[in-house]
Amino acid sequence: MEIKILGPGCVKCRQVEALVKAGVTETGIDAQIEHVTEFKKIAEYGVFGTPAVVVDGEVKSVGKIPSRSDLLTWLKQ
Amino acid sequence: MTENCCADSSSSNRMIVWCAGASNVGQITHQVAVEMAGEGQGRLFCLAGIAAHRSGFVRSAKDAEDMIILDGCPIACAAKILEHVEAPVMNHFIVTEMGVEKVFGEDLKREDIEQVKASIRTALAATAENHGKGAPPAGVRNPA
Repeated sequence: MEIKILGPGCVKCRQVEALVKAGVTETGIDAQIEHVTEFKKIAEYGVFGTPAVVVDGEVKSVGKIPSRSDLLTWLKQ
Repeated sequence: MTENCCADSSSSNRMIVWCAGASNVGQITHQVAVEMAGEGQGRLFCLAGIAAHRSGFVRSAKDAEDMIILDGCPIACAAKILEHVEAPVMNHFIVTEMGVEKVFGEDLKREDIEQVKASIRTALAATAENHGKGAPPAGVRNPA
């Protein structure tokens, strides 16, 4: 599984990254996590705001910190 | 996409989408959208990306806190695209309901553009003032 956190590095973006890492650890899945901070690369995803979470190429969340339950659902799919 | 991560001002989080149709009223939606964004009333967002079902665009529309939807005529393509992806339809405006007749092949009139912008500003202000107080103000469908 490939997970990307989109965001230039604000507090919320770092919170999402920590949430994702905790979720991956909790579920024990094999995942690559990348925090995308470059504006041009973020823009390629067409998101209106950040932070955003992308799981295997699909944008799951935009402009907010996702709930833990939503995150775990995405990781288990 | 904002360069201001986690931007929190109300106007910067208001998404503007517009039909950009071929008639004068469709093209007025484009002009009005661009000018309103330039005036800090919201940020432009790509309706084509939503229609193409690109996940970043669709998720952004579904998660939008605030939105202005501009359609030229009652066919309401912009609103229909949002409905199609099950995104909320809020603050929906239709130019022909603001006294502008739909025609093809004519240059846009500055007075029409200003009239539409003024109508939208008035309706949004009334919506904010009457939030949760009954019927929506004239000119706006599905106020946020």
